[in-house]
Amino acid sequence: MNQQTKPIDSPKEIPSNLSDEERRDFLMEHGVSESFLENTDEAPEDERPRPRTKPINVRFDDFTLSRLKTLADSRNVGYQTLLKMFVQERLYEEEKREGVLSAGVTQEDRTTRQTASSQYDADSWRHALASLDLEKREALWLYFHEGLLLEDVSIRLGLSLGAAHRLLKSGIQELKEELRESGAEPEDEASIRAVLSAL
Amino acid sequence: MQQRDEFEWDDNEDKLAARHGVDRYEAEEAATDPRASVKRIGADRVGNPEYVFVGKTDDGRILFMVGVLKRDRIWRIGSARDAKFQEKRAYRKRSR
Repeated sequence: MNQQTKPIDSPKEIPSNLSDEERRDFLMEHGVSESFLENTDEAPEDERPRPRTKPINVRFDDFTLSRLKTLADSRNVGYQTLLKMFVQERLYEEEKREGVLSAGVTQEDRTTRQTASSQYDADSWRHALASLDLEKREALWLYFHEGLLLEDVSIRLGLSLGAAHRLLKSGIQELKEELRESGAEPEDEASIRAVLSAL
Repeated sequence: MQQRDEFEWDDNEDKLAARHGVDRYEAEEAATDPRASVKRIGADRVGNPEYVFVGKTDDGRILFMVGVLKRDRIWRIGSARDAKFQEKRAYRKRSR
């Protein structure tokens, strides 16, 4: 094994003259050895990051479980991830139906937004949208037109929250740049939402 | 309801994602994995305790991370990458 990147057995192996960044890079590069992980004490409970999730126990019959696993395999995600996605999607639908969610686009909203957007040139917006990548266009559409939450956009596109956020951010940026050329750059996200929800 | 910890990042998170292909949600999942190994490794210059983590994401990716616990229970994750062979093996033994 390469001596320079050998996993460390003890914190004593970290050179003491490093800056915070250098020490971090040193640790990332070397990693820690199996014996370090097995033989040193775990941090006490109150020094561990607290999970924001809670494990629960649910019983499933074999048949349902095997269907879920097959589907998860074909989508290349873990079956528990898929399960969570399904619950979140369904919850969103049900809450929308019950009127719990205010983020959903109601008919009333649409009419007001229609008026707001009449000052915009729909053609240059369509043109600007069409010039974006398919993925960015989709993210913008789901978020602004369909009024989905970021979390739901990420589920629909099969991305992590972070990736969906980055996609949306760069989509907004590119859309603004495109529209700037036609002299109709939207000021903020609210005006993008107003136009896209009515397009 | 248990209060949850906050996470913040040393590096710009986009840079981190580009360098190691880990996004912050994956890193937070791995850090809060109940089976994760969390080991005190030292302290930063200011005296905040520093830890290494080996934990699993919801999708089964085992990550290695370095982070610091600051005041008010804010975790500053320095960096994250896929765990190496020995780190993975220790994690698997531990969580068996």
